[in-house]
Amino acid sequence: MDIDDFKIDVYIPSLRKTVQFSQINNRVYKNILKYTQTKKDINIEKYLSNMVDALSTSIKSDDINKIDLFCILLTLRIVCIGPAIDLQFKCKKTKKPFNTSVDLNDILQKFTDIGEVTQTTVHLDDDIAVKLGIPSRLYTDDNDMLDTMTYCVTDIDIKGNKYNLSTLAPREKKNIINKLPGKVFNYIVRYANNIQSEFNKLVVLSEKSPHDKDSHVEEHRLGLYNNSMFNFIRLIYADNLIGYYEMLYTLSSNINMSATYVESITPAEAGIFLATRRKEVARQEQAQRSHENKNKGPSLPDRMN
Amino acid sequence: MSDYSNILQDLKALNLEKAFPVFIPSQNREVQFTPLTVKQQKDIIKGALDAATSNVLFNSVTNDIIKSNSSEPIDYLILDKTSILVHFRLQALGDQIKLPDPDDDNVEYDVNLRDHANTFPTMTLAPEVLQETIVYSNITGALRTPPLSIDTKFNDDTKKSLEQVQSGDLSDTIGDLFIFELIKFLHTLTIGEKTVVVSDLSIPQAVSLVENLPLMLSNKIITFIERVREFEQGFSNVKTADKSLELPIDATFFNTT
Repeated sequence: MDIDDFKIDVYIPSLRKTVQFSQINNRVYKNILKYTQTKKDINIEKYLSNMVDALSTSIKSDDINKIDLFCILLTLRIVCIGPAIDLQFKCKKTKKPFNTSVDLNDILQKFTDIGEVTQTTVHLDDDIAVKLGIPSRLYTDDNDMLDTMTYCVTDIDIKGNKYNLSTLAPREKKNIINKLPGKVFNYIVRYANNIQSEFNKLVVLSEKSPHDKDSHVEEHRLGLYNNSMFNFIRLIYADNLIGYYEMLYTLSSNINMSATYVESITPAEAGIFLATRRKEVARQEQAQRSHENKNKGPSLPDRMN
Repeated sequence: MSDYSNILQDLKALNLEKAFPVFIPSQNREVQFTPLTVKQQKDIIKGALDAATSNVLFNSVTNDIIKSNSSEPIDYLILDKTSILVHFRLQALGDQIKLPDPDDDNVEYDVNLRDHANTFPTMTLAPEVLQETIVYSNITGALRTPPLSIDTKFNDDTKKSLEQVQSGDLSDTIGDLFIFELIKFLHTLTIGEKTVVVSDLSIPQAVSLVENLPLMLSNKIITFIERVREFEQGFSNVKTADKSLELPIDATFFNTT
Protein backbone atom coordinates (compact mmCIF):
# COMPACT_ATOMS: atom_id res chain seq x y z
CA MET A 1 0.00 0.00 0.00
CA ASP A 2 1.31 3.44 -0.93
CA ILE A 3 1.22 5.97 1.82
CA ASP A 4 1.07 9.59 0.70
CA ASP A 5 3.98 11.90 1.47
CA PHE A 6 3.53 14.69 3.95
CA LYS A 7 1.29 17.41 2.47
CA ILE A 8 1.10 21.11 3.20
CA ASP A 9 -2.24 22.90 3.45
CA VAL A 10 -2.21 26.01 1.28
CA TYR A 11 -5.10 28.46 1.38
CA ILE A 12 -6.14 29.71 -2.08
CA PRO A 13 -7.79 33.13 -1.56
CA SER A 14 -9.80 33.38 -4.78
CA LEU A 15 -11.24 29.89 -4.33
CA ARG A 16 -11.65 30.41 -0.57
CA LYS A 17 -10.49 26.90 0.11
CA THR A 18 -7.45 24.99 1.27
CA VAL A 19 -5.58 22.79 -1.18
CA GLN A 20 -2.89 20.26 -0.35
CA PHE A 21 0.59 20.58 -1.83
CA SER A 22 3.62 18.35 -1.68
CA GLN A 23 6.68 19.96 -0.16
CA ILE A 24 9.34 21.82 -2.09
CA ASN A 25 12.33 19.48 -1.99
CA ASN A 26 15.92 20.47 -2.67
CA ARG A 27 15.72 19.46 -6.33
CA VAL A 28 12.81 21.87 -6.92
CA TYR A 29 14.45 24.46 -4.69
CA LYS A 30 17.66 24.29 -6.74
CA ASN A 31 15.64 24.88 -9.93
CA ILE A 32 13.84 27.86 -8.39
CA LEU A 33 17.21 29.32 -7.38
CA LYS A 34 18.51 28.82 -10.90
CA TYR A 35 15.50 30.52 -12.47
CA THR A 36 15.38 33.40 -9.99
CA GLN A 37 19.02 34.15 -10.69
CA THR A 38 18.25 34.71 -14.37
CA LYS A 39 16.70 37.94 -15.57
CA LYS A 40 13.97 36.16 -17.55
CA ASP A 41 10.79 36.68 -15.55
CA ILE A 42 8.73 34.73 -18.06
CA ASN A 43 10.83 31.60 -17.45
CA ILE A 44 10.36 31.98 -13.70
CA GLU A 45 6.61 32.08 -14.21
CA LYS A 46 6.68 29.03 -16.50
CA TYR A 47 8.64 27.04 -13.95
CA LEU A 48 6.47 28.13 -11.03
CA SER A 49 3.29 27.25 -12.93
CA ASN A 50 4.67 23.82 -13.76
CA MET A 51 5.70 23.45 -10.13
CA VAL A 52 2.14 24.19 -8.94
CA ASP A 53 0.79 21.60 -11.40
CA ALA A 54 3.34 19.04 -10.18
CA LEU A 55 3.00 19.64 -6.45
CA SER A 56 -0.79 19.55 -6.26
CA THR A 57 -3.16 17.00 -7.67
CA SER A 58 -6.30 18.98 -6.89
CA ILE A 59 -5.54 22.32 -8.52
CA LYS A 60 -4.05 23.51 -11.81
CA SER A 61 -2.10 26.70 -12.37
CA ASP A 62 -4.75 27.73 -14.92
CA ASP A 63 -7.36 27.80 -12.13
CA ILE A 64 -5.65 30.43 -10.01
CA ASN A 65 -4.76 34.10 -10.26
CA LYS A 66 -1.45 35.81 -9.61
CA ILE A 67 -2.21 36.54 -5.94
CA ASP A 68 -3.14 32.88 -5.40
CA LEU A 69 0.17 31.88 -6.95
CA PHE A 70 1.98 34.33 -4.72
CA CYS A 71 0.26 32.90 -1.63
CA ILE A 72 1.25 29.37 -2.67
CA LEU A 73 4.88 30.45 -3.08
CA LEU A 74 4.87 32.22 0.28
CA THR A 75 3.30 29.26 2.12
CA LEU A 76 5.72 26.77 0.57
CA ARG A 77 8.62 29.10 1.40
CA ILE A 78 7.49 29.41 5.03
CA VAL A 79 7.02 25.68 5.57
CA CYS A 80 9.85 24.22 3.49
CA ILE A 81 12.54 26.83 3.97
CA GLY A 82 11.56 29.07 6.85
CA PRO A 83 9.30 31.97 7.79
CA ALA A 84 11.90 34.73 8.09
CA ILE A 85 14.00 36.64 5.61
CA ASP A 86 16.86 38.83 6.70
CA LEU A 87 17.46 41.81 4.51
CA GLN A 88 20.29 44.26 4.53
CA PHE A 89 19.72 47.93 3.70
CA LYS A 90 22.05 50.89 3.56
CA CYS A 91 21.34 54.06 5.50
CA LYS A 92 20.76 56.81 2.97
CA LYS A 93 22.48 59.42 5.14
CA THR A 94 25.38 57.58 6.76
CA LYS A 95 25.75 54.82 4.12
CA LYS A 96 26.13 52.34 6.99
CA PRO A 97 24.47 48.94 6.50
CA PHE A 98 21.67 47.71 8.76
CA ASN A 99 19.61 44.53 8.90
CA THR A 100 15.86 44.05 8.97
CA SER A 101 14.08 40.78 9.52
CA VAL A 102 10.74 40.16 7.83
CA ASP A 103 8.20 37.60 8.95
CA LEU A 104 6.67 36.13 5.80
CA ASN A 105 3.59 35.03 7.76
CA ASP A 106 2.59 38.71 8.05
CA ILE A 107 2.93 39.21 4.30
CA LEU A 108 1.02 35.99 3.58
CA GLN A 109 -1.87 37.22 5.73
CA LYS A 110 -2.00 40.55 3.87
CA PHE A 111 -1.97 38.86 0.45
CA THR A 112 -4.62 36.40 1.55
CA ASP A 113 -6.92 39.23 2.67
CA ILE A 114 -6.57 41.09 -0.61
CA GLY A 115 -6.83 37.90 -2.68
CA GLU A 116 -10.29 37.25 -1.30
CA VAL A 117 -11.60 40.30 -3.12
CA THR A 118 -14.84 39.30 -4.77
CA GLN A 119 -14.92 38.92 -8.51
CA THR A 120 -17.49 40.96 -10.29
CA THR A 121 -19.68 40.19 -13.28
CA VAL A 122 -20.67 42.96 -15.66
CA HIS A 123 -23.79 42.42 -17.78
CA LEU A 124 -23.26 44.70 -20.77
CA ASP A 125 -26.70 43.83 -22.12
CA ASP A 126 -28.88 40.74 -22.51
CA ASP A 127 -26.38 39.14 -24.89
CA ILE A 128 -23.03 39.53 -23.23
CA ALA A 129 -21.55 39.47 -19.74
CA VAL A 130 -17.93 39.46 -18.61
CA LYS A 131 -16.46 38.37 -15.30
CA LEU A 132 -13.64 40.51 -13.92
CA GLY A 133 -11.05 39.29 -11.45
CA ILE A 134 -7.39 39.52 -10.58
CA PRO A 135 -5.24 38.70 -13.65
CA SER A 136 -4.10 35.10 -13.80
CA ARG A 137 -0.63 35.58 -15.20
CA LEU A 138 2.22 36.77 -13.03
CA TYR A 139 4.23 37.93 -16.02
CA THR A 140 3.18 40.63 -18.42
CA ASP A 141 5.03 41.50 -21.60
CA ASP A 142 2.95 44.61 -22.07
CA ASN A 143 4.69 47.74 -20.92
CA ASP A 144 1.40 49.48 -21.33
CA MET A 145 -0.71 49.63 -18.18
CA LEU A 146 -3.98 49.78 -20.16
CA ASP A 147 -3.15 46.53 -21.97
CA THR A 148 -2.23 44.80 -18.75
CA MET A 149 -5.39 45.98 -16.99
CA THR A 150 -7.55 44.25 -19.58
CA TYR A 151 -6.26 40.89 -18.34
CA CYS A 152 -8.77 41.34 -15.50
CA VAL A 153 -11.33 39.72 -17.82
CA THR A 154 -11.48 36.09 -16.70
CA ASP A 155 -14.72 34.74 -18.21
CA ILE A 156 -17.10 35.71 -21.01
CA ASP A 157 -20.73 34.78 -21.53
CA ILE A 158 -22.00 35.41 -25.06
CA LYS A 159 -25.68 34.56 -25.45
CA GLY A 160 -25.39 31.78 -22.90
CA ASN A 161 -22.14 30.38 -24.29
CA LYS A 162 -19.81 30.52 -21.31
CA TYR A 163 -16.06 30.69 -21.83
CA ASN A 164 -13.28 30.65 -19.28
CA LEU A 165 -10.23 32.47 -20.67
CA SER A 166 -7.68 30.92 -18.32
CA THR A 167 -6.94 28.02 -20.66
CA LEU A 168 -6.17 30.28 -23.62
CA ALA A 169 -2.63 31.23 -24.58
CA PRO A 170 -1.79 34.84 -23.56
CA ARG A 171 -1.84 35.98 -27.20
CA GLU A 172 -5.24 34.38 -27.78
CA LYS A 173 -6.63 35.88 -24.58
CA LYS A 174 -5.38 39.33 -25.55
CA ASN A 175 -6.94 39.03 -29.00
CA ILE A 176 -10.30 37.98 -27.55
CA ILE A 177 -10.34 40.80 -24.99
CA ASN A 178 -9.41 43.32 -27.70
CA LYS A 179 -12.45 42.25 -29.71
CA LEU A 180 -14.93 42.62 -26.83
CA PRO A 181 -17.43 45.48 -27.11
CA GLY A 182 -15.75 48.76 -26.20
CA LYS A 183 -18.36 49.51 -23.58
CA VAL A 184 -16.70 46.94 -21.29
CA PHE A 185 -13.47 48.93 -21.30
CA ASN A 186 -14.57 51.52 -18.77
CA TYR A 187 -15.78 48.78 -16.42
CA ILE A 188 -12.39 47.07 -16.73
CA VAL A 189 -10.48 50.26 -15.97
CA ARG A 190 -12.70 51.07 -12.99
CA TYR A 191 -12.36 47.54 -11.57
CA ALA A 192 -8.61 47.42 -12.20
CA ASN A 193 -8.11 50.80 -10.53
CA ASN A 194 -10.10 49.73 -7.46
CA ILE A 195 -8.13 46.52 -7.04
CA GLN A 196 -4.84 48.35 -7.62
CA SER A 197 -5.66 50.97 -5.00
CA GLU A 198 -6.38 48.18 -2.47
CA PHE A 199 -3.18 46.43 -3.51
CA ASN A 200 -1.27 49.68 -3.11
CA LYS A 201 -2.21 49.84 0.56
CA LEU A 202 -0.35 46.58 1.11
CA VAL A 203 3.09 47.36 2.55
CA VAL A 204 5.25 44.34 1.81
CA LEU A 205 8.08 45.49 4.01
CA SER A 206 9.17 48.61 5.80
CA GLU A 207 12.57 49.68 7.08
CA LYS A 208 14.04 52.53 9.09
CA SER A 209 17.71 53.28 9.46
CA PRO A 210 18.93 52.96 13.07
CA HIS A 211 21.91 55.14 12.10
CA ASP A 212 19.86 58.26 11.41
CA LYS A 213 17.35 59.35 14.04
CA ASP A 214 15.70 61.72 11.55
CA SER A 215 15.12 59.04 8.92
CA HIS A 216 11.59 58.11 7.94
CA VAL A 217 10.14 54.64 7.66
CA GLU A 218 10.55 53.51 4.04
CA GLU A 219 7.63 51.42 2.83
CA HIS A 220 7.92 48.98 -0.08
CA ARG A 221 4.89 48.04 -2.16
CA LEU A 222 4.24 45.89 -5.23
CA GLY A 223 2.37 46.68 -8.42
CA LEU A 224 -0.42 44.41 -9.59
CA TYR A 225 -0.14 45.26 -13.29
CA ASN A 226 3.61 45.11 -13.77
CA ASN A 227 6.39 42.61 -13.15
CA SER A 228 7.38 43.93 -9.72
CA MET A 229 6.16 40.75 -8.01
CA PHE A 230 9.10 38.91 -9.54
CA ASN A 231 11.49 41.09 -7.52
CA PHE A 232 9.80 39.91 -4.36
CA ILE A 233 9.90 36.27 -5.48
CA ARG A 234 13.65 36.74 -5.98
CA LEU A 235 13.82 38.16 -2.47
CA ILE A 236 12.05 35.24 -0.78
CA TYR A 237 14.03 32.69 -2.79
CA ALA A 238 17.27 34.61 -2.46
CA ASP A 239 19.67 31.88 -1.40
CA ASN A 240 22.55 31.53 -3.78
CA LEU A 241 23.42 28.47 -5.76
CA ILE A 242 26.92 28.28 -4.28
CA GLY A 243 25.35 27.92 -0.84
CA TYR A 244 23.11 25.18 -2.18
CA TYR A 245 26.04 23.19 -3.63
CA GLU A 246 28.08 23.66 -0.44
CA MET A 247 25.16 22.22 1.50
CA LEU A 248 24.95 19.30 -0.93
CA TYR A 249 28.70 18.69 -0.62
CA THR A 250 28.68 18.83 3.17
CA LEU A 251 25.75 16.45 3.52
CA SER A 252 27.17 14.02 0.96
CA SER A 253 30.82 14.00 2.06
CA ASN A 254 30.50 14.38 5.83
CA ILE A 255 27.26 12.60 6.62
CA ASN A 256 27.40 10.21 3.69
CA MET A 257 23.95 11.13 2.42
CA SER A 258 23.40 10.28 -1.22
CA ALA A 259 22.82 13.22 -3.57
CA THR A 260 19.48 11.66 -4.47
CA TYR A 261 18.39 11.62 -0.84
CA VAL A 262 19.55 15.21 -0.28
CA GLU A 263 17.53 16.33 -3.29
CA SER A 264 14.44 14.59 -1.93
CA ILE A 265 14.37 16.41 1.42
CA THR A 266 13.28 19.98 2.02
CA PRO A 267 15.73 22.86 2.42
CA ALA A 268 14.49 23.22 6.01
CA GLU A 269 15.30 19.55 6.71
CA ALA A 270 18.70 19.94 5.06
CA GLY A 271 19.23 22.96 7.32
CA ILE A 272 18.48 20.82 10.40
CA PHE A 273 20.99 18.17 9.26
CA LEU A 274 23.60 20.86 8.66
CA ALA A 275 22.96 22.51 12.01
CA THR A 276 23.18 19.12 13.76
CA ARG A 277 26.40 18.37 11.91
CA ARG A 278 27.82 21.76 12.89
CA LYS A 279 26.93 21.12 16.54
CA GLU A 280 28.54 17.70 16.31
CA VAL A 281 31.72 19.15 14.80
CA ALA A 282 31.78 21.86 17.46
CA ARG A 283 31.33 19.19 20.15
CA GLN A 284 34.12 17.09 18.63
CA GLU A 285 36.42 20.11 18.46
CA GLN A 286 35.63 20.95 22.06
CA ALA A 287 36.34 17.35 23.10
CA GLN A 288 39.56 17.41 21.12
CA ARG A 289 40.68 20.60 22.82
CA SER A 290 39.83 19.17 26.25
CA HIS A 291 41.73 16.00 25.40
CA GLU A 292 44.79 17.96 24.26
CA ASN A 293 44.74 20.07 27.42
CA LYS A 294 44.51 16.93 29.57
CA ASN A 295 47.51 15.30 27.80
CA LYS A 296 49.63 18.39 28.29
CA GLY A 297 49.42 17.93 32.11
CA PRO A 298 50.65 20.58 34.57
CA SER A 299 53.46 22.78 33.31
CA LEU A 300 56.87 21.90 34.75
CA PRO A 301 59.51 24.38 35.85
CA ASP A 302 62.34 24.84 33.36
CA ARG A 303 65.08 22.62 34.64
CA MET A 304 67.70 24.53 32.75
CA ASN A 305 67.10 27.59 34.86
CA MET B 1 -13.57 23.88 -32.84
CA SER B 2 -11.44 25.27 -30.04
CA ASP B 3 -12.79 27.68 -27.45
CA TYR B 4 -10.67 30.37 -29.07
CA SER B 5 -12.31 29.93 -32.49
CA ASN B 6 -15.77 29.70 -30.92
CA ILE B 7 -15.34 32.93 -28.95
CA LEU B 8 -14.03 34.76 -32.03
CA GLN B 9 -16.99 33.52 -34.05
CA ASP B 10 -19.51 34.49 -31.35
CA LEU B 11 -17.95 37.95 -30.96
CA LYS B 12 -17.94 38.56 -34.71
CA ALA B 13 -21.61 37.62 -34.99
CA LEU B 14 -22.51 39.74 -31.96
CA ASN B 15 -20.60 42.71 -33.33
CA LEU B 16 -22.53 42.60 -36.58
CA GLU B 17 -25.83 42.23 -34.72
CA LYS B 18 -25.06 45.31 -32.65
CA ALA B 19 -24.44 47.52 -35.70
CA PHE B 20 -26.19 50.86 -35.33
CA PRO B 21 -27.24 53.65 -37.74
CA VAL B 22 -25.29 56.91 -37.94
CA PHE B 23 -26.46 60.01 -39.77
CA ILE B 24 -23.80 61.06 -42.30
CA PRO B 25 -24.15 64.73 -43.27
CA SER B 26 -22.23 64.46 -46.56
CA GLN B 27 -24.42 61.53 -47.65
CA ASN B 28 -27.59 62.98 -46.13
CA ARG B 29 -28.55 59.47 -45.00
CA GLU B 30 -27.80 56.89 -42.34
CA VAL B 31 -25.01 54.33 -42.64
CA GLN B 32 -24.57 51.30 -40.36
CA PHE B 33 -21.49 51.09 -38.11
CA THR B 34 -20.28 48.31 -35.83
CA PRO B 35 -19.59 49.34 -32.21
CA LEU B 36 -16.17 50.21 -30.80
CA THR B 37 -14.10 47.32 -29.50
CA VAL B 38 -11.97 47.26 -26.35
CA LYS B 39 -8.85 47.66 -28.50
CA GLN B 40 -10.27 50.72 -30.21
CA GLN B 41 -11.26 52.23 -26.86
CA LYS B 42 -7.74 51.55 -25.60
CA ASP B 43 -6.18 53.17 -28.67
CA ILE B 44 -8.30 56.28 -28.15
CA ILE B 45 -7.30 56.60 -24.48
CA LYS B 46 -3.64 55.81 -25.18
CA GLY B 47 -3.51 58.70 -27.63
CA ALA B 48 -4.41 61.07 -24.82
CA LEU B 49 -1.43 60.03 -22.72
CA ASP B 50 1.07 61.94 -24.86
CA ALA B 51 0.13 65.57 -24.31
CA ALA B 52 2.16 66.92 -27.23
CA THR B 53 0.58 64.77 -29.91
CA SER B 54 -2.72 63.81 -28.28
CA ASN B 55 -5.07 65.65 -30.65
CA VAL B 56 -3.27 64.46 -33.75
CA LEU B 57 -3.20 60.88 -32.47
CA PHE B 58 -6.87 61.07 -31.56
CA ASN B 59 -7.61 62.23 -35.11
CA SER B 60 -5.62 59.44 -36.73
CA VAL B 61 -6.95 56.72 -34.42
CA THR B 62 -10.58 57.77 -34.87
CA ASN B 63 -10.16 58.09 -38.66
CA ASP B 64 -8.92 54.47 -38.72
CA ILE B 65 -11.80 53.33 -36.50
CA ILE B 66 -14.39 55.04 -38.72
CA LYS B 67 -12.93 53.35 -41.80
CA SER B 68 -12.79 49.96 -40.14
CA ASN B 69 -16.26 50.00 -38.50
CA SER B 70 -18.26 51.39 -41.43
CA SER B 71 -20.46 48.87 -43.19
CA GLU B 72 -19.89 50.74 -46.46
CA PRO B 73 -16.54 51.61 -48.05
CA ILE B 74 -17.07 55.36 -47.97
CA ASP B 75 -14.20 57.86 -47.67
CA TYR B 76 -16.09 60.07 -45.21
CA LEU B 77 -15.46 63.81 -45.05
CA ILE B 78 -14.00 65.49 -42.00
CA LEU B 79 -17.34 67.22 -41.43
CA ASP B 80 -18.99 63.78 -40.99
CA LYS B 81 -16.68 62.90 -38.15
CA THR B 82 -18.37 64.55 -35.16
CA SER B 83 -21.70 62.92 -35.97
CA ILE B 84 -20.02 59.51 -36.20
CA LEU B 85 -18.08 59.98 -32.95
CA VAL B 86 -21.17 61.15 -31.08
CA HIS B 87 -22.95 57.93 -32.16
CA PHE B 88 -19.95 55.78 -31.15
CA ARG B 89 -20.02 57.47 -27.76
CA LEU B 90 -23.77 56.95 -27.41
CA GLN B 91 -23.42 53.27 -28.21
CA ALA B 92 -20.44 52.71 -25.90
CA LEU B 93 -21.29 54.87 -22.91
CA GLY B 94 -24.98 55.66 -23.05
CA ASP B 95 -27.13 58.75 -23.50
CA GLN B 96 -26.01 60.87 -20.55
CA ILE B 97 -23.00 63.14 -20.53
CA LYS B 98 -21.84 65.85 -18.16
CA LEU B 99 -20.65 69.02 -19.85
CA PRO B 100 -18.88 71.90 -18.10
CA ASP B 101 -20.34 75.37 -18.00
CA PRO B 102 -18.08 77.49 -20.25
CA ASP B 103 -18.52 80.41 -17.85
CA ASP B 104 -17.99 78.55 -14.57
CA ASP B 105 -15.57 75.64 -14.11
CA ASN B 106 -17.40 74.48 -11.01
CA VAL B 107 -20.73 73.94 -12.75
CA GLU B 108 -21.64 70.92 -14.89
CA TYR B 109 -24.77 70.23 -16.91
CA ASP B 110 -26.35 66.82 -17.46
CA VAL B 111 -27.03 66.57 -21.17
CA ASN B 112 -28.94 63.92 -23.09
CA LEU B 113 -26.66 63.16 -26.01
CA ARG B 114 -29.36 61.14 -27.79
CA ASP B 115 -31.63 64.18 -27.99
CA HIS B 116 -28.73 66.16 -29.43
CA ALA B 117 -27.92 63.45 -32.03
CA ASN B 118 -31.54 63.39 -33.11
CA THR B 119 -31.13 66.96 -34.36
CA PHE B 120 -28.32 66.03 -36.78
CA PRO B 121 -30.54 65.16 -39.79
CA THR B 122 -32.02 68.67 -39.63
CA MET B 123 -28.63 70.29 -40.29
CA THR B 124 -28.55 71.29 -43.93
CA LEU B 125 -25.26 71.00 -45.73
CA ALA B 126 -24.93 73.89 -48.19
CA PRO B 127 -22.92 73.20 -51.39
CA GLU B 128 -20.46 76.01 -50.57
CA VAL B 129 -19.39 74.06 -47.48
CA LEU B 130 -18.39 71.11 -49.65
CA GLN B 131 -16.44 72.93 -52.34
CA GLU B 132 -15.51 76.31 -53.76
CA THR B 133 -13.38 77.71 -56.55
CA ILE B 134 -11.04 80.57 -55.75
CA VAL B 135 -9.31 82.73 -58.33
CA TYR B 136 -6.46 85.22 -58.17
CA SER B 137 -4.86 86.54 -61.33
CA ASN B 138 -4.14 83.47 -63.50
CA ILE B 139 -4.24 81.06 -60.53
CA THR B 140 -7.34 79.03 -59.81
CA GLY B 141 -7.73 76.85 -56.77
CA ALA B 142 -10.40 74.19 -56.31
CA LEU B 143 -11.18 73.86 -52.61
CA ARG B 144 -13.03 70.94 -51.08
CA THR B 145 -13.82 69.62 -47.64
CA PRO B 146 -11.15 66.93 -47.32
CA PRO B 147 -11.96 63.26 -46.90
CA LEU B 148 -10.61 61.44 -43.85
CA SER B 149 -7.96 59.67 -45.98
CA ILE B 150 -6.32 63.04 -46.73
CA ASP B 151 -6.70 64.12 -43.10
CA THR B 152 -4.90 60.94 -41.96
CA LYS B 153 -2.10 61.40 -44.50
CA PHE B 154 -1.26 64.83 -43.10
CA ASN B 155 -1.87 63.85 -39.48
CA ASP B 156 1.05 61.45 -39.71
CA ASP B 157 3.37 64.27 -40.76
CA THR B 158 1.92 66.63 -38.21
CA LYS B 159 2.70 64.07 -35.52
CA LYS B 160 6.31 63.86 -36.69
CA SER B 161 6.61 67.67 -36.58
CA LEU B 162 5.19 67.78 -33.06
CA GLU B 163 7.53 65.04 -31.85
CA GLN B 164 10.50 67.06 -33.08
CA VAL B 165 9.31 70.24 -31.41
CA GLN B 166 11.52 69.80 -28.36
CA SER B 167 14.65 69.91 -30.46
CA GLY B 168 13.41 72.48 -32.95
CA ASP B 169 11.72 75.81 -33.09
CA LEU B 170 8.09 75.85 -31.93
CA SER B 171 7.20 78.63 -34.37
CA ASP B 172 8.36 76.41 -37.26
CA THR B 173 6.06 73.64 -36.03
CA ILE B 174 3.05 75.92 -35.74
CA GLY B 175 3.85 77.15 -39.22
CA ASP B 176 3.96 73.54 -40.50
CA LEU B 177 0.59 72.77 -38.90
CA PHE B 178 -0.95 75.82 -40.51
CA ILE B 179 0.42 74.88 -43.94
CA PHE B 180 -0.75 71.25 -43.55
CA GLU B 181 -4.24 72.53 -42.76
CA LEU B 182 -4.30 74.67 -45.94
CA ILE B 183 -3.02 71.77 -48.07
CA LYS B 184 -5.79 69.45 -46.84
CA PHE B 185 -8.47 71.78 -48.19
CA LEU B 186 -6.78 72.62 -51.52
CA HIS B 187 -7.79 69.98 -54.03
CA THR B 188 -6.29 71.28 -57.28
CA LEU B 189 -4.32 74.33 -58.30
CA THR B 190 -4.32 75.62 -61.88
CA ILE B 191 -1.74 78.13 -63.02
CA GLY B 192 -2.42 79.17 -66.60
CA GLU B 193 -2.90 75.93 -68.48
CA LYS B 194 -1.25 73.68 -65.94
CA THR B 195 -3.26 71.88 -63.23
CA VAL B 196 -1.86 69.90 -60.32
CA VAL B 197 -3.82 67.64 -57.96
CA VAL B 198 -2.35 68.62 -54.61
CA SER B 199 -2.91 65.22 -53.00
CA ASP B 200 -0.82 63.61 -55.76
CA LEU B 201 2.22 65.65 -54.73
CA SER B 202 4.72 64.55 -52.14
CA ILE B 203 4.30 66.37 -48.84
CA PRO B 204 7.43 68.56 -49.31
CA GLN B 205 6.19 69.49 -52.82
CA ALA B 206 2.71 70.35 -51.51
CA VAL B 207 4.19 72.39 -48.65
CA SER B 208 6.43 74.30 -51.06
CA LEU B 209 3.47 74.98 -53.37
CA VAL B 210 1.20 76.32 -50.62
CA GLU B 211 3.97 78.33 -48.96
CA ASN B 212 4.40 80.21 -52.23
CA LEU B 213 0.72 80.99 -52.79
CA PRO B 214 -0.23 84.68 -52.91
CA LEU B 215 -1.58 85.87 -49.56
CA MET B 216 -4.93 86.66 -51.20
CA LEU B 217 -5.41 82.98 -52.09
CA SER B 218 -4.29 81.77 -48.66
CA ASN B 219 -6.86 84.04 -47.06
CA LYS B 220 -9.59 82.63 -49.29
CA ILE B 221 -8.64 79.11 -48.25
CA ILE B 222 -8.80 80.18 -44.59
CA THR B 223 -12.28 81.63 -45.14
CA PHE B 224 -13.41 78.32 -46.66
CA ILE B 225 -11.92 76.36 -43.74
CA GLU B 226 -13.77 78.61 -41.28
CA ARG B 227 -17.03 77.91 -43.12
CA VAL B 228 -16.48 74.14 -42.83
CA ARG B 229 -15.55 74.45 -39.14
CA GLU B 230 -18.68 76.47 -38.47
CA PHE B 231 -20.81 73.72 -40.01
CA GLU B 232 -18.96 71.08 -37.93
CA GLN B 233 -19.58 73.09 -34.79
CA GLY B 234 -23.30 72.53 -35.14
CA PHE B 235 -22.65 68.88 -34.26
CA SER B 236 -20.40 69.54 -31.27
CA ASN B 237 -22.37 72.47 -29.89
CA VAL B 238 -25.19 71.48 -27.53
CA LYS B 239 -27.85 74.11 -26.91
CA THR B 240 -29.64 74.11 -23.58
CA ALA B 241 -32.33 76.56 -22.48
CA ASP B 242 -29.81 79.22 -21.54
CA LYS B 243 -26.39 77.89 -22.46
CA SER B 244 -24.35 76.81 -25.42
CA LEU B 245 -22.19 73.85 -24.33
CA GLU B 246 -19.33 72.26 -26.24
CA LEU B 247 -18.80 68.50 -26.58
CA PRO B 248 -15.15 67.65 -25.96
CA ILE B 249 -14.33 65.87 -29.22
CA ASP B 250 -11.13 64.30 -27.93
CA ALA B 251 -10.10 61.26 -25.88
CA THR B 252 -11.97 62.50 -22.80
CA PHE B 253 -15.22 62.11 -24.75
CA PHE B 254 -14.77 58.32 -24.49
CA ASN B 255 -13.61 58.12 -20.90
CA THR B 256 -15.91 58.01 -17.91
CA THR B 257 -13.40 56.83 -15.32
